[in-house]
Amino acid sequence: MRQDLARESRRILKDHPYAGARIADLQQVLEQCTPRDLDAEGVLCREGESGEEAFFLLRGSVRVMKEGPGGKDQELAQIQAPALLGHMSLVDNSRRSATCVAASPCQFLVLDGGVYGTMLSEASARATALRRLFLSSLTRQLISGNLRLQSLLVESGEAVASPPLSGPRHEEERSDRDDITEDDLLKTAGVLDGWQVDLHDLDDLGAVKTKGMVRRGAPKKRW
Amino acid sequence: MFPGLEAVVSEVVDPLAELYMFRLVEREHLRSLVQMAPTVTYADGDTVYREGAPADTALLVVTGKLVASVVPGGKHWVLGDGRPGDIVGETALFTRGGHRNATVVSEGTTVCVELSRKTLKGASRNPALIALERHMLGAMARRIRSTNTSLKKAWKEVDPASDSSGEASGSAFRRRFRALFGGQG
Repeated sequence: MRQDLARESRRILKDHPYAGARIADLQQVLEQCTPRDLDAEGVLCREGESGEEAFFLLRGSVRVMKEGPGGKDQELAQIQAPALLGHMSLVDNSRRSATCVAASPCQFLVLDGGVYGTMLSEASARATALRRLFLSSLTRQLISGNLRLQSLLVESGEAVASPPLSGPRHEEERSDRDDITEDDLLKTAGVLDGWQVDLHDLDDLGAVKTKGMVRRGAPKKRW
Repeated sequence: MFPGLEAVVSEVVDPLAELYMFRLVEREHLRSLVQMAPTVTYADGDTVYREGAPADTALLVVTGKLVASVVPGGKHWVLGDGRPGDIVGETALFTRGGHRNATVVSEGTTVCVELSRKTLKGASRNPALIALERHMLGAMARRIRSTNTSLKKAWKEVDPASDSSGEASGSAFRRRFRALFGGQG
């Protein structure tokens, strides 16, 4: 079991890298989690519910659905393991921003809000690992959301301001589109909520992909 | 400690101890953090960060005020400011290879503590840094939520009646979007 958790820690950190990350420290976090399995079509969480858990998706894939301004459910993303889901609700006590449904049989490790609350103030290697994993994830959400906002604003030949989110500069692809659709809004909101963060080219900024954001795997480089 | 350094440290620790995020942190831990992270003082008008420059540090504002702005298409656009207790440029601590996407200027004299990945590594068990990390988690989450709320608000403020094909609404949204986030309308 410990070997399994070490392997899972390595996979998670590959997908959510941060400076000074240690597999053994995150492994201690995972040891505090509870396993949960879901069959395909099983509901992990529903939009609008209070969120008292975060989820490490270890196996399988999850469909993320969000109610659009028109009241119709739309698929925001399909997230493949390994992934961290639902952590925003723990950080700011907010309600679930989307509904997550298993697209295939899934294995999760569930981090209880009480454990998170304890580790938030704990002076230990495992607590530091958890805080920085979350900070790394939120940073990526901010940067990814920033890129998405910029891509929405870009018009051929026009200068565009950086939105009020700090993050890396990038060479933006030009868009010939003149409109912003409801789907764009939902996708951007989804990116900000952490449902679609694709920064696998983060170390090669200047060529960050912002179009058709889907999870495509781990960063090219570790740091 | 070098002569005079103790006075500098005290000048920074006193205002830090007043901040809500450090209300439960003992002064000795704040002192230890300040000894590890350099204190930097900016004069009125000093450029702290320049848009496009490499980013590898963040600043915890101790006293004074920093103002962030961009200049899209020649128009000066203020994005926000950093006051005591705010952290400016914190995403640089958790990414590598990033660049500043706004220019930050000091308004009046501003004293900051400079945070780097080295600070995070060296002070990981310092209760002051733990409090800072908690603060950053909340600040980032609030920024994400407020941007998301602005997006939704902008969408709702666009008159649905103008949306017969989707294109009219899209253009109106773009205008509203720019009013909120900057750029040419």
